[in-house]
Amino acid sequence: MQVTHRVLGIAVLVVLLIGLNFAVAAVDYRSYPDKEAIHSDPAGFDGEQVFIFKKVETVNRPSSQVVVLRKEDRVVDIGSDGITKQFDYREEVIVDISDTTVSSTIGEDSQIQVYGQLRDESSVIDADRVVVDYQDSADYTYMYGTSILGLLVAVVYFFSHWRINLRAGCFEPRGEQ
Amino acid sequence: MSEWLTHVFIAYAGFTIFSWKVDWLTDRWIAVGVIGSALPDLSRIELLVSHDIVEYLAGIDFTWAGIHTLIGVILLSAIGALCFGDSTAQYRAFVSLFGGAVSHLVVDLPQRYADGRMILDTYLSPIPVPRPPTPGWYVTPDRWVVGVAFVVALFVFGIDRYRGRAVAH
Repeated sequence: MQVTHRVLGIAVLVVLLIGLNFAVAAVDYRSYPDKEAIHSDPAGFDGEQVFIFKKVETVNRPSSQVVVLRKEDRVVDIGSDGITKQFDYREEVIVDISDTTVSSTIGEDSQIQVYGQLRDESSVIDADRVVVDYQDSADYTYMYGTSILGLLVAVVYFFSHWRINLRAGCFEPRGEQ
Repeated sequence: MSEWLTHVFIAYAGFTIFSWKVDWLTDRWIAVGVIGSALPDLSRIELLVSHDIVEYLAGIDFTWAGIHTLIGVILLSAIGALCFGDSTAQYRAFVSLFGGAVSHLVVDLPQRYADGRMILDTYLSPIPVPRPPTPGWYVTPDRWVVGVAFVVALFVFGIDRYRGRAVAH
């Protein structure tokens, strides 16, 4: 295969891949109400079941409550001084965990999943189930550490069998001309 | 999603088992399959180029989550396959990369979700599909997961070497 055909083929596939990401973003495939809909009509969603992934802002252990944020921010400018973002909205939401089991200890900055019902104009979620994905920074360090190690293992394993042929613009097996 | 070391161990074990039946699936193609096991998580390009930067530039909604879908990994496997020489190598590369990517998606399925269901809908997005119940075996930081994956890979490695010696004799 000629290098130009190879590059052209890859370019077409990359365009399709980027297009797929726009298509996925445009489709609301989740069966739970999204934050934009709740923000625009908070009282209308009281009693609705929600399933959210959130970072914990604060924990109030005596009252069995944690606070998360319902927020939407977006880039409003990219300039020489960097990226400027702006909040469209930023609301505190109380998650009441008094009537639920939690998979492990929740702390500030924990990443949690909450499944429960909205109440009080969507300012409170009565949690049915809470799963702690990342309890603290040690969990993130572990995930990134093992992932980098896994990537290194995969790349070293790959290049122990393959090498790059710059002239042909492709990988070729080691040990062959 | 699990961390990449688990995906590497499981992909190695899976491809090695398949290599006992598929003649062309030699160590070099197992190595390609192991690379394939990382493809769905290329959605983590989000850490380098945030989706909201693309949204600002394009003016419409965008997400990198399309990479962590079945269609996304088919396209990525095809891109990877074009980086190999002739049509036979490209076919084998595509099958190996896609097989590795599918092993990644399968390993991710039985994770714990608060609503008790798998995230199968995200895999087939933008096609709507129902979400079956999840057994909820683990969340990403559970340390035992990589231990089990390592033991499985080591066990398969041992059998593979034993089979190799048996064939040599």
